[in-house]
Amino acid sequence: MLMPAPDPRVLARRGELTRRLRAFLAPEQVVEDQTALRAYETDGLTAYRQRPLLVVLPETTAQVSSILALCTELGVKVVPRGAGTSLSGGALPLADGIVLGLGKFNRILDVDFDNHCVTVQSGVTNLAITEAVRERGFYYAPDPSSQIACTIGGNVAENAGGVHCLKYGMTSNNLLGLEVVLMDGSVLRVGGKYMDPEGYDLLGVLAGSEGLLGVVTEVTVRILPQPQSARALLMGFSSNEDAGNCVAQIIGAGIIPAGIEMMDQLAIQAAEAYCRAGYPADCHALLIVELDGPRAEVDELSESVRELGMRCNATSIRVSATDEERLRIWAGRKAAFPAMGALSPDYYCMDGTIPRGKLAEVFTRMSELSRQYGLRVANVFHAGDGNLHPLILFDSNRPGDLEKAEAFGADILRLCVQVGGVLSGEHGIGVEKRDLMPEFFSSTDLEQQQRVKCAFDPGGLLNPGKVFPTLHRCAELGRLHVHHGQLPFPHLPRF
Amino acid sequence: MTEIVKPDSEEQLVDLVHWALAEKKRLAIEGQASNRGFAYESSAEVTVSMLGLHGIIDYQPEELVMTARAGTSRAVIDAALAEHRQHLAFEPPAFGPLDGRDARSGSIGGVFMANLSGPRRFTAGAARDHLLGVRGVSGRGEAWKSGGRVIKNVTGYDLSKLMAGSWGTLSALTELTFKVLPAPPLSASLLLPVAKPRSAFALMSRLARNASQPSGLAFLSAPVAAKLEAPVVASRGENVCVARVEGTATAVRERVADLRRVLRASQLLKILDDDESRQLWSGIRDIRGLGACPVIIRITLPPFRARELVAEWLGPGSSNPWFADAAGGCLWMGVEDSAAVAVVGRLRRQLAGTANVVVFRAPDRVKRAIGVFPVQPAPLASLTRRIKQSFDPEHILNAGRLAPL
Repeated sequence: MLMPAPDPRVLARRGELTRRLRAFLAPEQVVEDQTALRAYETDGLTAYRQRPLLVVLPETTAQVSSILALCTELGVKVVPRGAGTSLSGGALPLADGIVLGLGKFNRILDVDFDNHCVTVQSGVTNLAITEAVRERGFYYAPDPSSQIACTIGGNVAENAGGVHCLKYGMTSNNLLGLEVVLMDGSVLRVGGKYMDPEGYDLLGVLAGSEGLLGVVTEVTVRILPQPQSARALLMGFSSNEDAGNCVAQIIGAGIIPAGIEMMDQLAIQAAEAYCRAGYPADCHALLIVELDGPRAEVDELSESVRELGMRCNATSIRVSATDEERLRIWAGRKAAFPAMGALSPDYYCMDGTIPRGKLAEVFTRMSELSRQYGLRVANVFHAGDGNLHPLILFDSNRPGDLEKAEAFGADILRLCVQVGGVLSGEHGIGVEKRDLMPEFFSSTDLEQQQRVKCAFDPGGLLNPGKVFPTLHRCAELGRLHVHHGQLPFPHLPRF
Repeated sequence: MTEIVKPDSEEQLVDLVHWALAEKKRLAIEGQASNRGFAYESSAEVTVSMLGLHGIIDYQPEELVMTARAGTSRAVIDAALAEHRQHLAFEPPAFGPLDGRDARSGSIGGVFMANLSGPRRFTAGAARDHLLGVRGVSGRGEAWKSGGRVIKNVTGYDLSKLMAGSWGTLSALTELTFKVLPAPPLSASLLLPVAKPRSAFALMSRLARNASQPSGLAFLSAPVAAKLEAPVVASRGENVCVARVEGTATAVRERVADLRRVLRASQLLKILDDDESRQLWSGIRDIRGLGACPVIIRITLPPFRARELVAEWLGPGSSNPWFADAAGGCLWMGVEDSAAVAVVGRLRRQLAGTANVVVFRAPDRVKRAIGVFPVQPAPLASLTRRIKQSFDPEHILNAGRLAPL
C-alpha cells in the first residue's frame, strides 16, 4: 500500500508544531511520546500500521478550528479519528501528519423528545444515543455491529449502516444537522433540527466522505419511536439459491422487513460452535427475517413470510414467540465475526454490495475463487440491501497468506462491480479499496469527486492518501479546456 | 424568446456544453417546465429540453430500484410502478395546477432537481433520500457518474445527493437511479377537530410516536380546509388535524384502533375511508388549499418551534391562510403580495439558523426583493460558490435559477 511520501520539511518542523499547539492546548492534549503514539498507529484494519507525527486531542470546536488553521499554515496533514473502528483504514495515520482524535467530544448536548431529535458531540458512541432516549421509547436507527464502540462522527464519515438499512436507511437518511470545521479553520453549521435545509445538500455529501472534507464536531440525528412489536423468523435452506430466491419472493410480495440477514454454511457452523445459537445443523444457508410494527400487522406479515419460506423449500422454520427468542435468533448472527476466531487465527472482513438477484451467481463464483486461492470464506450478508460481508480465513503467521487474502478480497470486490454492484456498502474505501476505485469509476468520475474535495480542502491536507488512487493538485483539476471558436453549433433538433 | 435545443443522447449534450463554453452562451436546463414558477427564472440564451432523453432504462421490482432517463415523464414512471404495486415513497407533489398546468405534469429529473417531497416526508424521507445514482454532464462538458444501482453504497462521495435540490445548476443529469418501494394497498385518515392551532402541534407530536406509525400528520386551518377538493373536510368550516395510516386491511384496522386508543371520543370527528383519504392527501401534497394565494411561503422547522410561531403569527386576527404538514415540521403559508416582503423578512430574522424559509411562489418582483432562499452565512456561501465552481466554472448551467443575475 503506497501512501504519499512523507514531507521532510514537515518532519523537520515537528518541534515548532508541538510548541505552537501547546500554546493553546493543555499538555495532555498533545501526545508526542513515541510509546503513547503507538496506541494510534492503526485502526480496525490492523494489517496497516503507521506511527503519526503527533496526536492532538481537542475538547472544543474552537480548538479544532485553531488546530486545523495552524496545520494549514504549516502545511501539516491531518487524519481525523473517532473510535478507530474503521475496517477500511480510514483513520490510518501518516508519518508527516497529526492524528486529530475526537475522543474528548463525548457529551450529549440536547435530547429533544418534542422534536424527535438528539444533538451530540461527534465522539459520542452510536449506542449511547439510543441509550439516552430508550426510556422514553425512542431509538436511533442505524446500528453498525461496532455500535458499542464506534462514534457518531465516524458513522457520518463512513455513512454507516447496520442490519436495518432497507427499512430505516443509513446514517445519511437519519441525519438532520452537522457542525463541521474545514481545513482552513472555518466552522460551518449545516442543517439543524429541521428538514430540507437551504442550499446544496452538504449533509448528503459529507455523509460518507471518509474524513476527507471536514472534521465533524457536532451531529443532530432524528430518533424514532420504538416499534410496538418485533418478531424474527429463522429459516434454514439446503442451498444458497433457495435462500436468495426466498429474499426476492419476500420483497416481491411487497414486504419490507426491518432486517433480512443471510449466513452461509461456514458462518452457521462457526456461530453454532461459538455460542450455541440453536441454528439448524444440517442446512446450507440461513435467513433471519425480522418484522416490526403494530402487533397484528407483524403477526400477519410473519405468517406471509413463513408461507413464502415453505414455498421456497425451507428445510426448517422457527418464528420467535417472545422477545427473548427473537434476541436468541439474532445472537448467532451478531457473534458471527468473533466466531471466526474459533475457526481460524485471522480473518479478513470484506464489504461490497450487489443487486440481490445476483446472489447465487456471486456465491458460486466466490466458491471458485476460494478453491483457487486455497482460503476458506464464510459469508454473512445483509440480504435485504444486497450488502455482502465475506470473511476470508487466513493465518498471518504463514508467509504469503495475508497477501493471498488481500488478493482474494480484491477479486471479490471486482466481482461485485462486474455484476452491477459497488466496492463498499458501509465500510468505506479508505486505503483498503482505494486502488480498486478505477474498477468502478472512470478518471472523469474520479476527477469530479476530487474537484469537490478541492472545494472543501484546496490544500489537500485532510486525510490524503485515502479514497483516491491518484492525487492531483487542485489547480490542475480546475483547469478548463475551452475550444474557442472551433466548435460548430451541435447538430440538434431546434424549435 | 430563447432558442430551444433537444439533445437525444449524452454525447449530444456534451457537444452542446462544449459549444456553450466556447461561445459564452448560458443554458437553461428544462424538462416539462412544471417547476418553472419556482426559484428564479433562468436568464439563459439557450434552453436545453431534456425531453429527448426519455424512457425507463431498467426496472426490477424485486430489487426496489428503477433507472430512468431524466426527461422521462412522471406519468410514465408512475404507471410502470403501479403495475407492480410500487411507488415513490416520498410522495412527490405535483404543483402544476398552481400554474394552471396538468396535475401529472413533470419529469423525473425535475422531481429530483427540485427535491420535491410530500406529506410522507417525515417518515419516508425526502426525494434526496431515494436517489441512489446519477449520470450527468457538468458545466465543464464532461459526462460523469456517481452512486450505483444498490441501496447501500459508500463508494466515493455521494454526489447524487448533491444533485438533489441543485436545480440543475451543477450538472444536467441524463440518468437517475432511485429507490422504489411497495405501495401500501390501503389507507385511512382520522379527522380530529382542533379549536386552537397551537394545540395541534403537541397532538401531532404525540401521534407521531403512536404505535400506529402514521404516515401523514397535518393541521389544516379552516380557510385552507375549505379550499380542498375533499368535501368531507371542506364543508366543515373548522380547523382540523388529519392523521393518515396505511398498510394492508388488517394493518389499517389495527392502526386506526391504536390511534383511537389515545384519543378521547370527543377528539374524533370522522374516519375517512381509502378514497376519501387519498383525495384529501393529494390536496395537501399539492398545496391546493393555497392555490389562489399570490405569494406562498414554505417554512421547514422543528414542530415545537412552529407551535410558538403559530401562536404569535397566525392567531386570532390573522388572515393568512396556512397549514402544517409533516407532523408540524413544515408550514405552508399564503401571504398578500403587499405584505410578503415584510413577512418573509421578519420570519427569516426571527428563525435565523433554526429553520428554512423559502418563498415558494411569488411574482418575480417580490422574489427579487426578498430572495427566494435565505442568505447563507459567509463560510457556507463561500463553500457553495466553490462547489458550483467545481462543476460549472463558467456558470453556464441554469444561470440565474438559484440566485438572480
